[in-house]
Parts: sequence; structure tokens; C-alpha cells
Amino acid sequence: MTEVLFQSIPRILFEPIAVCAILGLLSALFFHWKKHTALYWILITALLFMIGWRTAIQIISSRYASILLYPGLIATVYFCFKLEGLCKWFPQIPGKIFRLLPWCVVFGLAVACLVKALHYNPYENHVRYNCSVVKRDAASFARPLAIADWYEAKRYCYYSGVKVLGVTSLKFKDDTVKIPVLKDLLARHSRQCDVLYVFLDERSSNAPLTGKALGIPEERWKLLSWQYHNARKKKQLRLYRYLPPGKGR
Amino acid sequence: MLQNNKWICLKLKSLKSPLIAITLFSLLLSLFCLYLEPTISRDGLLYLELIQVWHEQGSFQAVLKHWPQFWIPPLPLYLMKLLMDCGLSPEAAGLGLNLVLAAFLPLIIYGVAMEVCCDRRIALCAAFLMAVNPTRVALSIEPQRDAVYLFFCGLLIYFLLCGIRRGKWYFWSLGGVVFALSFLTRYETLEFLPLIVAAFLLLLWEDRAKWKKLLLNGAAVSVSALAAFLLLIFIMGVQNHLFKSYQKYYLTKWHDLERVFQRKGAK
Repeated sequence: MTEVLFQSIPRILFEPIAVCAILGLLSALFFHWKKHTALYWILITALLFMIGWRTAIQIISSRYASILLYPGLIATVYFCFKLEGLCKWFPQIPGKIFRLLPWCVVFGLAVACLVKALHYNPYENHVRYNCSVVKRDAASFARPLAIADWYEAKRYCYYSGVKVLGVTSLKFKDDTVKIPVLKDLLARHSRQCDVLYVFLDERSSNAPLTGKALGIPEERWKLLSWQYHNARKKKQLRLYRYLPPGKGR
Repeated sequence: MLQNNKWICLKLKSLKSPLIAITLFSLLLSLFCLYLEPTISRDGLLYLELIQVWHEQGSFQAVLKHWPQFWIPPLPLYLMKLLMDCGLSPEAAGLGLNLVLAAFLPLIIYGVAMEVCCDRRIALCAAFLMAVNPTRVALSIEPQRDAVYLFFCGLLIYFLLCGIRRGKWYFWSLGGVVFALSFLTRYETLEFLPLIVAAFLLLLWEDRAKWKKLLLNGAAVSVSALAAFLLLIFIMGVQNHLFKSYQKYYLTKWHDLERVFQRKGAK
């Protein structure tokens, strides 16, 4: 329950907006509690209901609360313009400052939103980059096949154009590859193709897998490409090529 | 009279330019973010796969066969498929629809804010904050249903507010049409049913003499919602599949419930 209220909803609204929205709703309750028209009660009921059922059923994704963007943003701006009223409580401060205050807060929020919206992962192309390598390399083979963690298999297939088998056992704990598991997968899938590509998420600190470690001749196992997942550079998506015995270019 | 008309024209002109600027800005911002991060998400790929199947085989049955656990309401897929029928690639159709509809969200929030607060400054700032909101930007560059849902649901909120404030039947009627569109995009739209009933009850409580007008508005919203819903599912050609999938869904739920009671009885 608290997760939805304090994580999912603020995340979808963007946290600074969520804080201002709560302040806006509280100030709306404070300023309008005596002038309760039907519209006032309809809006209050609607908001409580919309937040209430999402909290009660514990929505699994913050996207289910995306409709709250409308009331959230309006309440935020309402709060900003209610700041003008503060001048009554601080007569010693010039009124001009209070007239500028709402615009400054809106401007600040807009800058924060823009920074968040334009913040991007410089390595976001790690999937497309590795898949483009597969696409180029697979052109010279008749029956290429790839294996990858099932979670990402469709994406690799879409961007590489090569058939990708989703394998649950390719998701390794701590992103450290278990050699026997990989050897078993290579033996099992190499009969169906003349080249087998293996997509592996590995820790950057781990050295790339060698043919020697897998008990395969070096010329049949090659690291084709790799790319970091994000700017933290802790994890890499590595692409290996395995040429099954008796097959090849 | 002439002076009055001139004043209205001037007011409209002064209103138009910032709104057009904000809409264009929101579209450009989304396009720039798409340029920075063009990789499609895993969920987005599922949508592209489904519209490709629908487009290639020309029947919704093929979509159900391709993905038997189908639960996505068909309207967003149908709209993307329509764009594919016009010659766009699945990626361009999915992204194009979301980019364009998400660019109109600032306009919708402007209308909603004007209805609620009656203050142009608040409405314009809300529109601007919607344009730069990271969630709007992120949803607009994904070929999924979220931006489509926000568009239709935003319109629904706007028309319902117009209906409540102005009491005109045609606003309720438009609200009904948009309700059907929004429901066929995301089933959460059903949350507006109790809210519409509550709104009618509160309006009746405020002025009991208006019960005939409220009844007319109630009829307008329900008839137009039902008519639009039926029309849409027949246009999309999903009537059999939609009803069958719902029957199957509720039958499964009923069997689950029976199993729970049987287990309790056995204990």
C-alpha cells in the first residue's frame, strides 16, 4: 500500500511534481473548504477514488497511475499560483517578489522535468550494436542461430534478423557465467545450425570467455563484440560466435 | 456586436499562438528524445509483432492464435494497423501514433485546467509542464497504448467536466463516445463509471429540480457510449473474439472460484 502511494504514483508524476501536487491539493482543500459546490465534491470524490483503488489493489506498474498526471499537474500549478497569497503574511517583503515567485517555481519545475526527460543512457544502443554485428556476420552463413536469455530474446531477434532461442538458464546469478551450463547449451543447440551466436550479460570485471575455458578450439569460439549496459559500466552485453565442429564458412 | 466579435477574435488569436507553440514544442521534445534513445522496449516489440500479424493476415483471429493469452484491448493495435495499411512500417506506425497523440496532451490539460480553475495562467503553465513532463515524453516514444489511453481518457475528463459545469447534453454525449474509445484502449477506464454515477447523484443532491435534465444527460452519455462501443468493435471486426475472450476470461475466473470453494469444503 505504502509502495503505491510513496513510490509508484510519485514516480509516474515525477517526484518534485508529486510533492507540489500534494501541497496543491492541500491548499485547494484549505482555500475552498467553505465554498463546497457540487464540482468541488465531485473532484474530491474522483481523486480519492482514483488513488484509493490503485492503492487497494496494489498496482504492479506505475503506468497504471498515468491518468493521475492530469490532476497532479493542475494541482502543482495551482499550488504555485497560491504562493502569491503568501505576501499577506510577510508584509516586509516586496510584493513584486511574490508576484514572480509562482513563475520561478514553475520554471524550476520545468527545468527539472527537462533535465530528467533529456537524461539518457549513452550505451542505450548496446542491444542494437551487438545485433548489427550478428546481422553482418550471419550473412555469410546458411543456417545461423542465436541463444540468449528468454527475457531479451525477442529484442535480439527483431534487431538482428536472426532466429533467437530464449533460454532461461542463460540468466546467471551475479552475471558470472557457469561454464558447464554454457557447454551443455552449446552441445544441445549446435546441431540445428552452422553458426551459433551467444548473447551473454556479464560483469565488466570478468574476463571474456575463452575457447580454452570451454574446452573448444580457439578458432571455433570468438568474442565478436561487446558493449556496456549503461554509464555505470558494471555490466556488459557480450556477443560470442561458436562454429560447431564439421561446420563453418 | 461587431466590437464584441473583434474582441473574441483577438482573444482567440492570443490564445492560439502559445498553445500551438507548446504543442509543437512537446512534439519536438519527444522526437529529440527518440533520437537519443531509439531502442524499442520489450513490451513495445510485442505490440509491433501483434500489429504485423493483424496486418499480414487481415484478421484479429490470427492475433489471438499468435498470442493466445491476449488481453490487450484492440483499439490501439487497430489504429496502428490502420497506419500500416497506409504504407508505414510497424515501427513507424506504432511510434507515429504515440508521438502525435502525446503531443496533444498539453492541449487537453489546458482545457481541463480551464474548466476546473477558470484561470488562463494556471491552464497554460499546466500545459507547459505536461509538455516537458518526463513521463509524457517517455510514453510518447514507445509503440504501446499508454499515450493513446492518456489522449482518450484526457478527452473523457474534459468532456465530463464540460458536461458537469455547463449541463449541455452534447458534452455528455461526446463524453460517452470518448468513454468507449478509452475503454477499448485500456480497461481501467471503467473507473469512470462509478464516478459518473456519483457526479449525477451529487448534481441531483445540489439541485433536485433539475432531475429531468440530468436524466437526459444520463441517457446521452450511456446511449452514445454503447453506440460508439458497438460501432467500434464492428468496424474493427473483433465482435466475436472480444465477446468470446471475455466469456473465456470470466468462465476461467468462475472455475477458479469454484475450485477455491471446493477446496474449502473438502477441508
